[in-house]
Amino acid sequence: MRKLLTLLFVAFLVAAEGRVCFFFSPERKIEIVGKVVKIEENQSFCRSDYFVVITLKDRRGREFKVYVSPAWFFTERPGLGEEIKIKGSYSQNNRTLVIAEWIYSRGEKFLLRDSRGFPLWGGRKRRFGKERRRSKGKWVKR
Amino acid sequence: MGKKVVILFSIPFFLMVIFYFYFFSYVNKKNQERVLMLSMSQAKLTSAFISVAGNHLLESGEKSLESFLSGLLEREDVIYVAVVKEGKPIFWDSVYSGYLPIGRGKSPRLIPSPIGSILEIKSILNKGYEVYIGFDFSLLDEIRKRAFTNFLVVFLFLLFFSSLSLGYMLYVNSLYFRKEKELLKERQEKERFKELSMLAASLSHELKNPINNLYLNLQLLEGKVREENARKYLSVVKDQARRLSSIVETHLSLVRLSPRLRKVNLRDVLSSLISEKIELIMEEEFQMRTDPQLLHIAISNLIRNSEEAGASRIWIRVLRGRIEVEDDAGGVNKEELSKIFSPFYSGKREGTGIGLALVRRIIEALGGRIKGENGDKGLKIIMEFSHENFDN
Repeated sequence: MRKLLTLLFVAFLVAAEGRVCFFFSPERKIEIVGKVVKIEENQSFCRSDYFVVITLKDRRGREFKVYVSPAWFFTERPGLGEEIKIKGSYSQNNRTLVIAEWIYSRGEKFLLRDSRGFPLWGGRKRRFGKERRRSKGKWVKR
Repeated sequence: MGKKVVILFSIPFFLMVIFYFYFFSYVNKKNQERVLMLSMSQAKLTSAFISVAGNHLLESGEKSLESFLSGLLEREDVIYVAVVKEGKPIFWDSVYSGYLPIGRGKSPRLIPSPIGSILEIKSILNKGYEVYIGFDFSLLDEIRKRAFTNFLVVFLFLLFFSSLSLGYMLYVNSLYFRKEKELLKERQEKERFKELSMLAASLSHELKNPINNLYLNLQLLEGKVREENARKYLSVVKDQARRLSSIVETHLSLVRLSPRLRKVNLRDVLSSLISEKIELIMEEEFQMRTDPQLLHIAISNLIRNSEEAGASRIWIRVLRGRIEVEDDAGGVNKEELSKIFSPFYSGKREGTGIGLALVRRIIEALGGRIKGENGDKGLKIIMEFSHENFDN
């Protein structure tokens, strides 16, 4: 029993450590053009529910992990191998970790945050008793 | 009361609205400033408390501080928390995934965001630690918005009613002006009528004696002429002389009206006018204080006018205080309707323009008013008298 508890505690620590926590800074913006290598939904982004994380490989072969939005907000996703353009803010410790501001693909743009990083899907809790409306994001022709 | 007066009169209303606009926007602004000042002073107090609490927690290690701040984030009004050591963030969390608008500058400060204002409090701890807490301050925005909405509603309300009052005053003013204009027109027309009547009467007076002389001589001549054709021509000339005499008499009657009022039965006065095509409609028997001869002349003239216009049916309708003569001759157009009672105006080629003018003169001399309108089938002349002159 003790062994099991220890194992669970270690697993929790590993899982907690595996979470990526960084914030969107308007001073650390980047634009990446690359092919979609992987799209996953996980809880690796700091204190978030299931987040869409896109792994992108640019022409120079560098891989970026792009933290997009909660899974319910970003439902129409690009296909694997598709070339997309992303603008976002990278982590102060690791330039390959990016919080996306928008994604551009096939002449359409998917807005995720405003220029200061405020998420367009809203936050995770009620404000002064008002329930937030949850509406999915959309691709817009640009 | 002229238009200018009305506008001048309404200026204070608009000045009042403008004054209201400035006064209440000033009061609103001052109130908002006071609310903000109060909030800022509370924020400074909170910052001081967090400094003290934070330093105590730091003595037990960074994790204690982080755990305390994470707990704060469970509150409904906290948006983000962050711990910065020597300029580098070492712990942070935000309700809005990855959104942490902390920055340099004075504290407390208001940060605009899509959900409204965020009040950021910075607390300085020992050993170079700084704690940032962002509070949801959107209620302040709501207060501002509501104050502005309330103010705008009252302002628009005042503006609307001021405009309405101005519009109403202008409307009443225009009505007053129209009435005054109508009275003036009526007065001028009467003056003109009087002048023309005088002229016509003096001319008629001058013509009367020669025409009578001419008629007398024609009668003498008729007695001496035996030839049939000459007698026929003489008869035509005599008829024309008689007609001339009649026209002269009519013109003279325009100024020689001196009604002798007495109580008469209207049916007695009007029944002599009834014929196959003239119908008298009188649901009640009325006694009227009037001059029967003049009234008879007036109604006869109206009947003659209708007949000359081609009427096949004429109705004389008597109601209390009102006598109507209506025909089925199709009526007249609107422009003509306004002129039918003017002296020397005639819609007929051979008319003198005296008939209806004389009717008007008579009715006014009898204390009544006359007007014309188009009825269902033709022209309807309405004569109105005081009810006091009518008895059953």
